[in-house]
Amino acid sequence: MRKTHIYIDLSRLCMTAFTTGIQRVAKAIVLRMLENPKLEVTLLADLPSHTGWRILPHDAFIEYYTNHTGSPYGSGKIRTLTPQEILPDAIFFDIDSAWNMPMRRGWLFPILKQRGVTIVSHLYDLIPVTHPQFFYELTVTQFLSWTSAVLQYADHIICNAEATKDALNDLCASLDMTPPPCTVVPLGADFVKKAEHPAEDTEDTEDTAPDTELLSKLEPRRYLLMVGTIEPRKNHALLLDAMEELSKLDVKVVFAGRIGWNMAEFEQRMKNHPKAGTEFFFANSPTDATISALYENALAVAFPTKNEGFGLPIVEAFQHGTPVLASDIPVLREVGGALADYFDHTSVESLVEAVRKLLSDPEAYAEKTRRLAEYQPRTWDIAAEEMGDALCRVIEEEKGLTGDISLKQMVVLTARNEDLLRSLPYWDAYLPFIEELLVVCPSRNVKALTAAWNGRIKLSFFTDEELLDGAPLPEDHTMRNFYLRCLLMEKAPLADVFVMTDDDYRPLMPLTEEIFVKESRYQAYFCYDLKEWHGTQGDYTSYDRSMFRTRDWLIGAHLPTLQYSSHQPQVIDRGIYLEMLSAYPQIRTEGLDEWSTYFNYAVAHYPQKFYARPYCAMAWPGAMTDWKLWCQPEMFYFENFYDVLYEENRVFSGLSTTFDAEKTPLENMEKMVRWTRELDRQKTQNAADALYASLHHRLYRIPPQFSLTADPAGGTAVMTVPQILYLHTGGQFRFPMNMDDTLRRSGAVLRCQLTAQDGKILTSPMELRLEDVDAALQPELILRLPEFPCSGILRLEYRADAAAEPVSAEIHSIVTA
Amino acid sequence: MTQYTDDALARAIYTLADERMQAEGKTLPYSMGVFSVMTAAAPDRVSYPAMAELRNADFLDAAFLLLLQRPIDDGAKEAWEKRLTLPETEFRTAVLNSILSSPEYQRNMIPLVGCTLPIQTQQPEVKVCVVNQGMPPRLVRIYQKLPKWMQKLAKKLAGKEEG
Repeated sequence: MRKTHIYIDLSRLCMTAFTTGIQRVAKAIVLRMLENPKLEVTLLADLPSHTGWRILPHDAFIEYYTNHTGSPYGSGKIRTLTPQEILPDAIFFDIDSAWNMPMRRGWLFPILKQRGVTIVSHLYDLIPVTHPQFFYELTVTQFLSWTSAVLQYADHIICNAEATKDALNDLCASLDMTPPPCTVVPLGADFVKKAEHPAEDTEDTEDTAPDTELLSKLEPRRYLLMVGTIEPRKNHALLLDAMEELSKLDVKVVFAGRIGWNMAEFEQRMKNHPKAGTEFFFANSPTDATISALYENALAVAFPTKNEGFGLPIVEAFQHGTPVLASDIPVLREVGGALADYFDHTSVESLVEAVRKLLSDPEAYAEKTRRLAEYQPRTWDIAAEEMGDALCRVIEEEKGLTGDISLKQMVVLTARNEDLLRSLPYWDAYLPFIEELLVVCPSRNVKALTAAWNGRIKLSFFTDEELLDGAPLPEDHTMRNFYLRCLLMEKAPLADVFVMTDDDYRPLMPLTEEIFVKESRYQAYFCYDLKEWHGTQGDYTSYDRSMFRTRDWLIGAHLPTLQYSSHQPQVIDRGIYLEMLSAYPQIRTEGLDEWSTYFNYAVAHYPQKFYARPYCAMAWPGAMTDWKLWCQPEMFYFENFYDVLYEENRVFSGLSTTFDAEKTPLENMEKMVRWTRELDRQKTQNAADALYASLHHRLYRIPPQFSLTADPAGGTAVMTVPQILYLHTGGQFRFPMNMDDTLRRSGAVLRCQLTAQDGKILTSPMELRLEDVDAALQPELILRLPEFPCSGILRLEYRADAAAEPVSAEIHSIVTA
Repeated sequence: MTQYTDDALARAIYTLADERMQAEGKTLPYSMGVFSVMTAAAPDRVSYPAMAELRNADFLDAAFLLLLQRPIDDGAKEAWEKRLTLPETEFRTAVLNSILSSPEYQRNMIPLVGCTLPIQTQQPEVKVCVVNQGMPPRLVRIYQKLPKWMQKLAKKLAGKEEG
């Protein structure tokens, strides 16, 4: 049986000394989930950077939260995890109070969704949204933030009560949104009685003896008890308002708890109350033994709360055999059922009447306590089991691919016979499951191709003429690509599922279908995030422009923004592609990137059918200096073939560009080694850049950054630059210029050049016309660096127009090998 | 059904909560702009462009919340509110210089990125306090437990009159 993999972030639980409230629930559920054979649980607590987690060892976690020894973090080597490393077929389950965590869900959830991770959030209540006045200002802000992330990204919500689910539905209705699927799993309540087991679920206090002085002033069954933090929402004031009436009934009042937020005035009222110390008592931060004794001797536990998520004190009172008088609100009716009595929490008379009723019929009271003595609370074992089942169902319901996927067809669009014929032997040898190659090409190419190929793979053709049927072809390369693929999906004799490739994507070794379909999921290979895509400086290529258009379209369509143009063959589900075209008919002629459009749509709509993962192609980009990699390939299974890389002094010089059954395997190994070295160089540079940035930040309090701002004193602009610059030989240095939009005017130019101290030129000048830069991006200057170590001055210049005086800055720069 | 962007949804929820607060005669603690910036903030950096559109008073709230990770304290609020009328660039540069130069910022050091202001932070004065230099704490504890005459002897052996 395949286990459901669940990641749980317990950052708050681990940093909270007292396990109360939500942390108590999280602890009770998680400890039991660890024993559930259907689940594979990874426990997480965030790192100081808040951009990733450390993985909590199970044994240390269990030991700490059952026997109170050691640390939940364990000892020994720290294992870490980033959001990008969470497996897409897993669930990210938030059961802790995530709104308090520095890793905001508005930042985290989009990252998880891009990968296709299923997000499940536990919703305790929505009171900070519905009654924000009751909460501390930062809590409200954080909770509202968290709620918006949950509503936007959660695939499923687990509520602790029907009332909470109703509140969620009401909120979604107010927002005109479809509520996320929701399962109600009531909490457990079999907390061990604290006096019997002080080590369990307690706020570890050294003094565990009951407060005899207080207890001596209280006659058994002649006082109302209210347990919990004193805060506005709990409505303690109602009991004080009722004191006069309760005195007449000879009933005293005891508050047990701590003073909470925004209660200074009420604290004064308690202190100055005329009956304080005689008929009204406040047990401030009482011991567990005191609370237990108070529970057992109370006439009833009063719970006049204005709003509540679950109402655990009701269950605790029942466990002590004590009757409960609770606010008549849905969630408390759900928890208290027929065992509790209810009153209007806005009315003193209603409360007094409920007390009077308890006192007036001793027999009924005795019967009530007899029934409570037999009360069996719902257990945490059951709650955890149900929650585990609910999580497994979330994964099961969003089933992966069903039935056998037959992957026999590959499709290529090409106009160049020679390129196709050079790649065909690689496909023939290394993709044994492919039986047919559907070639989409001009009709004039068909005859020559048929004559030149006699390999295993059968060629079939669909000509451009058949495809276009007289329709004009767009001029732009990328527009043409997408347009043709759309026509292809609708007209060509395609299999339901097939492999799409370009004529220069070559496999590097014998591969199986698992590269494309594994464990009932299509594998979708991404190489970048389009939001981060800067493209080529200034003079963007048509490819760059297509990426920008795709980015804007994806954002507009509320889809993820990963770049799937990974330059390797990818599997396509024709049905999903057609569905996308039918949902967005206008995209055919918008010049979008066909890979990114399809896969982002598919991953967002069918997360359980896709596994988004980093690409596995080498030579994309063709040179490491083309752009900084956003993710490193997991492995090299394909090569994005570039002739130029085989020229002298280039990375693959001396290696063959055509297939040879004997030589190619060895040469491909050699290529992998050489390309890995290229990647390692960039990795080393990235590490050095990060170290430099961190040191600069430590020393000067701001990271190294370039900025240009309009001069408030009346000059053109003020340029701010790093104190010192650290560069690497041979590569290129890209620096984004943070600048006011007002300075990005037509004719404005940024220029940079590196010279030695004595004025000797070290690099040729680079110039960037600001009107050429994509409006959504900050301008980025690219400086090609010398091949030798040196130090010098980087001069940076801004001119508002050709006639304007330049604004400039000079930076001491060190170029190291 | 309405399709929201992340920011639009956050703002819609904010508006709902704000209406409820207003019904109680109160307002939410932070403006919608500050809330929006906070909601979208990454945990490992503070984006200046995201804050650039805020009014000076909101900028102050956001700068404290994001760079120092706490609400602004009453003392700082009172002091900065007197300077709210300064031109935007001047006010913001002063706020950021002050925060980035503070020893408190040292604790988290969340990088401020994309800043177009001419920030020139001053390094906080580092006060070094050397206690029992060269003497491990365990040795100090042993020394303190010694009888007076042995302490004198120990000092003599160590070649020091004091310390």
